[in-house]
Amino acid sequence: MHSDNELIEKFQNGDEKAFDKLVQNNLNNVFGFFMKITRDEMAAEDLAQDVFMKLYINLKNFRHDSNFSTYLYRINTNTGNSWITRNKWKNLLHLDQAPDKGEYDQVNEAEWERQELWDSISRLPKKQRKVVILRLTNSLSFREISNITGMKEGTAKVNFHHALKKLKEDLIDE
Amino acid sequence: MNNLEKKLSKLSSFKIKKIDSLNFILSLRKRQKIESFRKKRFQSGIRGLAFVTLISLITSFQFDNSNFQYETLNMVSYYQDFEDDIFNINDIFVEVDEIDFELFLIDETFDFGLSELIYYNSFLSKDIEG
Repeated sequence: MHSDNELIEKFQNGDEKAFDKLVQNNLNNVFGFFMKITRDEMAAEDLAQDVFMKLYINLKNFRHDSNFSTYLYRINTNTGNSWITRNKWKNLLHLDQAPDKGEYDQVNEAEWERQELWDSISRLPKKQRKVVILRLTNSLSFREISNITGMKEGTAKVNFHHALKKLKEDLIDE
Repeated sequence: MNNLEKKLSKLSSFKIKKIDSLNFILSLRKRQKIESFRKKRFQSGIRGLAFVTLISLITSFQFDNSNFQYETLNMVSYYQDFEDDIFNINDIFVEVDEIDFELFLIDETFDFGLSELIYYNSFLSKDIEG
């Protein structure tokens, strides 16, 4: 069993199969990350493919300055963030097609709450959104979040605090 | 982790079934091929566009009539000079006696040589003096 770093080196030396192995090693993490955000298998798979496409293009220039897992999280977060922004506008444009809340209460209250939560997250500023995504979907520590996002640990904590405050206000209002 | 954070984490967490990695890799490879085909098509499109632009530029330079305009301008300039030199000669003061003499020469069909015309004044003065 090869480590990710060994597989990356092999891929950088032209071994295409090493990339497939790397995908196999990390697929469930990436897919899980996007499933938590989208709750839609098709969308999660598409986003996971986006991530591995970006990885395939950029991995040849990977210099091992940071851990591969951090690098992958960074791509995940940016891809997820873009999807949330894109989806926010999509939801805004399809407001008339949104199901009635009463209908949802009967069907699945938790699902409605989850959707409300992610709608609120999509309205957060970009930095706060990144921290919230990493904290909620992967329960990462603020140190890990600071490594991934490049912001200081204290800044990550402050951003998360502000984000929670806004989410609380949003969810109570709704 | 406070209560709200726990609640939010709970909302975001659920059991995720595993994805079939072989199918995923196959579809990823297919997508890579499509992307690479698109990239190549885009690049060849750009090359084609650059080629057409180059040909258009070369053609438009060949159709340029700047030389013709230049010649026209030259001709205008040439005639202008001609008019200035030739027609303005009328403005020069001419002695009436000389004109009478010329008319006399024409009437008498006096045949002048070039040297006589050039040295006319000196011949005339010699005749007068002589």
